[in-house]
Amino acid sequence: MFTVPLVGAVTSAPDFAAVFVEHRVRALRLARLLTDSDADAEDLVADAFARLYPKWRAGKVDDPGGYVRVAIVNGARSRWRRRAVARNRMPSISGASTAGVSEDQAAALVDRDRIRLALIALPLQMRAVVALRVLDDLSERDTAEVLGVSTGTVKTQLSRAMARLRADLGEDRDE
Amino acid sequence: MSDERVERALRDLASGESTLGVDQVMVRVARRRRRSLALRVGALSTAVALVAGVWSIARDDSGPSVEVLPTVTEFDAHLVIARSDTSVDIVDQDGRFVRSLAPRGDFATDVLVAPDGGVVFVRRESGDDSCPKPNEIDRIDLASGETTAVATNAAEPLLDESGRELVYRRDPGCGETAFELWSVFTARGAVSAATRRSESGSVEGQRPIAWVDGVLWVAHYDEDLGTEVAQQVFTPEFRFGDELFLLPRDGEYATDAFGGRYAAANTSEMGLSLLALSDSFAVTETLIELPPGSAGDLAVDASGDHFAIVIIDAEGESALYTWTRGDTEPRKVLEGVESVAWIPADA
Repeated sequence: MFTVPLVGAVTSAPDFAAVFVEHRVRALRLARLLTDSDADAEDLVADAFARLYPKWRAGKVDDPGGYVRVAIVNGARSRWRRRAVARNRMPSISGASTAGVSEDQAAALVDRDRIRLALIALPLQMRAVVALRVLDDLSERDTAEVLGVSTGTVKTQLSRAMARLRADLGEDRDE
Repeated sequence: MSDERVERALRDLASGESTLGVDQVMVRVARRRRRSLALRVGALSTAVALVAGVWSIARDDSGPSVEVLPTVTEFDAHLVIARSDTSVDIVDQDGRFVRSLAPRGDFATDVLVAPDGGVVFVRRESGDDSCPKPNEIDRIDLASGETTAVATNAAEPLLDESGRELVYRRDPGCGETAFELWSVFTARGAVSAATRRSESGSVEGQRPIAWVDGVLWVAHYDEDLGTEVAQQVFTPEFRFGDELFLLPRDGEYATDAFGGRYAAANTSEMGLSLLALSDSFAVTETLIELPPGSAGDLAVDASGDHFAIVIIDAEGESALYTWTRGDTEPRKVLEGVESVAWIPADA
């Protein structure tokens, strides 16, 4: 099978490699919450950095992390629309075995499965609000700016999303 | 139930191992550059033979059912293809090997065929890190196979309608530079000295898409963070901001010219489709939906009836499809193709 070689590709400046390393993990964490699989998340992140590169090289990007964040959210929006139908047919995601692990570890695995399914059930914008506010620790104002909505919308959607996630995770373990 | 538990589960879900590296990003950067607006004026040629497409109805004698088969027009034409393995070959319209035109070498990014079908131009991109990079355009005589280097440090070649003047952007491979347009004349195997035609602002976001009557048409490619992609074409003298016309903003294109009109394979979030464009690049018709992927290259024969499209799928693998007006669906003819051009039927 032909593998895309770096022949014909663009050689990255060392500084861009440093930018990539600096923002890679955070970008992947955000993307994982906005996509349905790790492979999709990596794809989204690679695309976001590929979009960043020419702008960054031209000196047009002051905040590479912010640029990548917006590109990831916008990319996820595109995919969300394209895959809306397929998503409705998705089976249960993880199927992770809890055999041979402690009770706490098993509970964490169950939570992970449930939260993934619960996230998938959320509208993308709500999911993005959760990812940006909870995981990326963005302020309401910054989250609103990334998503192009009002801070009121961010507050409302975060509240609704957390309520739904709490409900989907179940009350049993806390009672 | 607490928000802490939800947040803990979210952080756990978001964590994980990944092998994603900057090299994979840079391959995408290269692909994004290559697949955007690679127009081939040089693919202009005389018409190839055409048998009009019709619905084919095959009747099964054992029963009353009637199967309606996809229409696939039969015609006779050859194409020049640059393969992913870096070789350049001539194949027929079904993808069958006819003969080798150039052996493996540096990565062949562009193939152009002169309107008389006698000459093929191949642009190869060096994989080394030298500066300037010897990104070379070769002229290959189809009859004799004689190969002549006509330009170095060159990118985004276009042919004029006569097939004698080749214009290209100087690309020394040392970072972004000014947009320098150069040209050479070739005829009967002789090649003129390269001449600098003009110089303007940054290369960034500018794509030469047509060289017609001494006028270079440039598309301005402005990625606006994701779903919205603006592409504007400006006046030939690079008066940026002096907008003449606007391609649809939602996609990326591979384009080609035929008889003063244009076609585009448009990659948008709605999918990949083949569009007919007017001489002012306005979309006049959506010709057909294409298989999922992005457009790597597009070639239209001079009649404007036959289309060859390189489609890059989600895994980054590229394949050649053909489609003829009247056909109900495009046909995948060959995998591992990077660039394509029609050879005129009477060449």
